[in-house]
Amino acid sequence: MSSPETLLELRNVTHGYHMRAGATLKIIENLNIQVGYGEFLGIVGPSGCGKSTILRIMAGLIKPLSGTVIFRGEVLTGTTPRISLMHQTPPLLPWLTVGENVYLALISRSDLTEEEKRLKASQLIELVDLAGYESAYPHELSGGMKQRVALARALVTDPDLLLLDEPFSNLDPLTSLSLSREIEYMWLESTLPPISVVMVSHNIEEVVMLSDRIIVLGGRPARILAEVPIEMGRPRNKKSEEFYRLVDEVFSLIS
Amino acid sequence: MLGEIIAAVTLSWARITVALAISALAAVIIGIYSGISRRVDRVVIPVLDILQSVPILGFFPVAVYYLANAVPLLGYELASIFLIFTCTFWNLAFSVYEGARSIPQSLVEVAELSKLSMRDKLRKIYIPAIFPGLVDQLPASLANAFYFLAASEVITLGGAQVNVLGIGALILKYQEAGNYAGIALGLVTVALSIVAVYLLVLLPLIAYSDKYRFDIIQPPEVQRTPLIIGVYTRIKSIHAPLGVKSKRLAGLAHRINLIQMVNTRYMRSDIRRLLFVIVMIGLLIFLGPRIYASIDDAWAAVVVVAEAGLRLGLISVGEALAYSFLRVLVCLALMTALTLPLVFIITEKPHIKSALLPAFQIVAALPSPLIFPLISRLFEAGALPREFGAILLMALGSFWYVFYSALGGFSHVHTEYLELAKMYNLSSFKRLRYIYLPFATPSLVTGLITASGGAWNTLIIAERLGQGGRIFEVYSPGLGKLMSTLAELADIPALVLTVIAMTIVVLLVNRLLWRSLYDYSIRALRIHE
Repeated sequence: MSSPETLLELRNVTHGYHMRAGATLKIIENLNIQVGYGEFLGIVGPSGCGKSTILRIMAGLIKPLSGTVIFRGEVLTGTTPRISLMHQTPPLLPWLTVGENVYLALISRSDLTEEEKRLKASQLIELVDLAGYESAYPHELSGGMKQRVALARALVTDPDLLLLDEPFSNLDPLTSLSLSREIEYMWLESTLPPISVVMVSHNIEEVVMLSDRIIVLGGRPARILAEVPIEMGRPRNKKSEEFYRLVDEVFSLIS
Repeated sequence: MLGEIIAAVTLSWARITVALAISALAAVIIGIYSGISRRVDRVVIPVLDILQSVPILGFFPVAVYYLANAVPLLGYELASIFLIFTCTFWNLAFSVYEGARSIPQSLVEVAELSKLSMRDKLRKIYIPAIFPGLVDQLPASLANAFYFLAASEVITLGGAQVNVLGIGALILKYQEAGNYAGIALGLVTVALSIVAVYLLVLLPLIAYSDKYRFDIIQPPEVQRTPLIIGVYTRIKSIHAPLGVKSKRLAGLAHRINLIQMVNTRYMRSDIRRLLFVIVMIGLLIFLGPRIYASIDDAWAAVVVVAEAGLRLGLISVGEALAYSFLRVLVCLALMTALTLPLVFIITEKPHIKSALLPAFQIVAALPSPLIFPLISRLFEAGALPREFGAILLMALGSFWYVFYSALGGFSHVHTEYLELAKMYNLSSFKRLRYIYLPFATPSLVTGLITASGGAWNTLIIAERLGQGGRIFEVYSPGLGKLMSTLAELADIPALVLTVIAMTIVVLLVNRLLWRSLYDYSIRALRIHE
């Protein structure tokens, strides 16, 4: 079913948790999502609707109760360095330096030499504008810088797909704007990872700002309420009429 | 035989209940007071810290001696209640203290704005704030209480075997009579009674206390496991003795105090203070003559204790201390080496966790002194080397502190970090090294501090196990051995001296070794919160 342009696909995915009495609390049911090659997909929905769970299923971190995840034409059975997840609050290990934190993503790779790993780590740190901070510890960094470290760590594995779980929600507006510009740049730049991005958020503006297409989720268990293509040129202007219209449209779909 | 066992178990529980109730009540009062008043806080917390370092079992012969003389019939009962009180009070008091201090400033301000009376503040703010912490400590306190109660019945201290009806004494009697069926039946009955108390008392309490928990987000997996597992997975590490959390909250207590000063209900607090003074005066009148007599004797007592020190010789006391210190360290090292892989496996494999933890809970709650008669049997048969046996006996009294603090530390690692480990395909060793161990270190060190206290406390049994007239002691010197011998000789001054020596050493070890280890680990791990 998946077209050659599909990078990742969720097929009839249902997930939930077992309750005490043997019943299952379904969070998502029969979900079908395709992530196109080179696509920036936004997923919005009210909080608690299972957005983060969907990302974790895409990352291979959670095995859904039923349904399959197809990545590059093959069934995804677990995590892979080709798919990276960036968390809402960047889980940086406080006892490791910025450099070591980024290096951690490569530590178990046997296809790279020690030298290559170090080089890649410092390249990525430079790419996210943290050159010179290699030996700093996370607690010495601002929230935005921590998120940049997490971005470097997510990209150091050269992923095809970058999954973003509310990446800007803990940042001030200015920082989140510059970070979103940076992510957009890396995604647009064909020589840099990632190829496609899936971003989950409840901030409609930032999703409209970045996405090619927005999936609106709702209900319990969550299902797709609507799909909104965003055919606006980049970089997008937050003050344009079209932007307002799209934000309004998505907003009315959620509420 | 069964009737006898049930009667003994019931009596043991009755002692525990009374003592634990007194202990909890005192903990709530003192804990809340020190939590909300900076002046009280400054005095009470260091005093509690010192008192909790006193090796309780070492104190027991002294307590029994005095209480049995002072109150002929109830002497032993009072002594055992005193013993249980001293071994359960500290963690309860510290958890209440932590709870009272963790009340957010905004909540205190709301209380002030809505002019709540002291009674309403207690009901609506303080009790809810301390309740979950207090309930979380109860299983540990209960296990502790049963441990010391059984120890007091099973071991011989101060020459005369205490002749009371209790399950420990009964099992010892069975062992002497070679009645192993009786021992087994007794142990099973105790285990069943503990399970019953867990299910009928503790679990409902914990379920009820969930109402007041705001900070705990249960990962979805926990819902799949039976309820009983929740009991220990939620045990929080006790950071209070180290004052770690307090820094963040240091300003709070002061502010609350200021608010109290300007409170319009100041007059009523005066009445409370007056009541307090009246009670104190009453106590003084009641105890006055005794204290007066004691003061008269005090100087003489100091002289006697000092003389005892000269008599024992500082070098021999020092030597005994050194040997005991070594034993405690070896014991802690062995327990840590055993715990880490075990806890690692348990944490990573939820199904093993759900299978093992309930069993562990029951075993952990079983008072280990009940199997001392069996261990002494092994000594007798020559199947257990004395030195190793001493370490085993110490471990029986302190293993679970290490285990549960490590387990708590491991299972509190946030899911995001475990997702990282999964995404980056970290090997078991790397997961342990980069994620679990660093996160668990503060909790583990806290557990080791408690375990170290437990091990010192058990020394008096571990180095010289006396049962029903037979004595099994280590060949090399040891402070516990020395204390036990002195207790048997009823050499109270020398015993007091050794208790003081042990307290000082435990305090020094806590301050110099453990505290700096804790601070170092916090610094090295750069945990800033």
